[in-house]
Amino acid sequence: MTIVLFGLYSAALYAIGGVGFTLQFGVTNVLNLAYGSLITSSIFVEYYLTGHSTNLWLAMLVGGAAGTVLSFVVGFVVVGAFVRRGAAGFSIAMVTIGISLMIQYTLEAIQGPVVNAYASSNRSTLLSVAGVNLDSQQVTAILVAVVLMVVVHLVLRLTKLGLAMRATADDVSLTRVSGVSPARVRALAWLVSGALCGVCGVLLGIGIGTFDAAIGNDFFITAAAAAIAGGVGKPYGAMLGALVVGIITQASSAIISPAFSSISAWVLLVAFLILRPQGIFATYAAEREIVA
Amino acid sequence: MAHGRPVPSLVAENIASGYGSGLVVRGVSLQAGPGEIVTIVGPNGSGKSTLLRTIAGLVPTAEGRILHNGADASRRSAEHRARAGMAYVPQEREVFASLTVRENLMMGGFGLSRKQLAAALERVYSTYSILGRLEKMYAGRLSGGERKTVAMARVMMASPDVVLLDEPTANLAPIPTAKLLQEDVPALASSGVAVLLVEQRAIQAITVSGWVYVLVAGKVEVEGSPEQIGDRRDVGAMFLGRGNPPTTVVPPVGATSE
Repeated sequence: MTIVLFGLYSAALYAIGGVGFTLQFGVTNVLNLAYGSLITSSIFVEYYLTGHSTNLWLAMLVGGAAGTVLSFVVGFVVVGAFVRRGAAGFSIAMVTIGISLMIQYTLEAIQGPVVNAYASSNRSTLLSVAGVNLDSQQVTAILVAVVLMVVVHLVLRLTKLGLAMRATADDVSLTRVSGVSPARVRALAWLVSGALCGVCGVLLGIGIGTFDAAIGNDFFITAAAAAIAGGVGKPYGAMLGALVVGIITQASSAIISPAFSSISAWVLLVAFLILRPQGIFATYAAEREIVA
Repeated sequence: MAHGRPVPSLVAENIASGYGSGLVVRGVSLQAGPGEIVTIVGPNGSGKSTLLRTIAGLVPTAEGRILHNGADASRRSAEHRARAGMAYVPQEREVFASLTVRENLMMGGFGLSRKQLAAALERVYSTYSILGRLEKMYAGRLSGGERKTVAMARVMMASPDVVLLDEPTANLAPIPTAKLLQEDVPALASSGVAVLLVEQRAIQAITVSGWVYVLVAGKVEVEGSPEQIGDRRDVGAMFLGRGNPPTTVVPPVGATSE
């Protein structure tokens, strides 16, 4: 029960981060390895702008806004400049690694190798199930994740923006000859995924209580494992992948040792890449892409 | 210029294009007007698909001009040309496989208001009666013939005045091929659309056409009415027959025209 509940809490964070990442990759076709650094940056912005506030709603607002702006600048403006010059695939991924390192070392250079800490908030136990206590911060994170996943679902299924995003992810040329500009759709994808990235960041930072300039990177690998488990570019896959990864990392912490929780996520990631690179849901579309 | 051709809505003036530094299309001039079916035939690798992709705006025009209703479209983006009424159906990946049939149609009518969209959906549903049955299915699950129907319906959503069709019968069985070439394409033309058709099944396509261009090695080698082309034995021998008997060929798996 402990594993399931804390797994659910971890899954909430992985779901927000993983869906943002997979949505971004699916629509823009940019493998953004700076995603983790953007998570970190969002926490820094929130921490300093709000004076270390642990008010989750304010934090999510500021962090989400920071993530939105940073993601747009990094993805659409900087990476976009490379894409418009014809770079693709591996070279773009290298560019994002460079950006990631620049962000991380800039943050370290500015403030030194210190660990920032949020003032310990008075966390009251809100939910107590079968002897397991979840505090209000954790319950809020789970609820926020559920709401965001529903919103992402509704946007993708019911709005024109969602339709255009799914069409762009499916076939850029066909989207263009349908009269829809992929550049605009990509710009919106950077904004939306950046907001998810920022919200995920502040929930992570405040959840742990301390953070440094590398916090986003470890988390990102695990969130990426969730996205890959669900099939990269598939938001619903990332939601399910987050649940699987969340519970497995918690299970390995509880059964083996907390030190193994990241390792188990990476083992899972490698196993998925070997056994089922197309993700849990192997749809006809993925099969078609792999064959083609 | 022959007598009896309509005033063109699409004109290509000496266009050249290709990928990277190599030109595949090397100075092609052609035209198509309202109600006209204009067919481009030629051997594999002659640049037919590249020519259509250039006109659609997916391949940059290296030289020459493309005029759409008198306006120079050569430097316009593919999306701009689409919004101006130029529709393009690629040979492969002609539908959004991960979207439902209805969503494919909505992509076709993306720029329409809610009211216009409803009217356009009603229009294409009545033109292509199978759509109603298929609307909730994912387009990737459809048969080849159904995919072509969805692709045709998708481009009709925006009421284009020029439609570019790249080998629409490439992977189709004989019955859907006949339906497409003898019913759907002529119906499209008789609604006032200029149809520019690239076809491997040359003889079947030529019989429904108003004008034919024979493309060889990136250039128009011969042009004329179907009767004129039919009279020229050398056309059949030199261009149409090479390796591919045009009436029966189903291209081998993986083969494309480029």
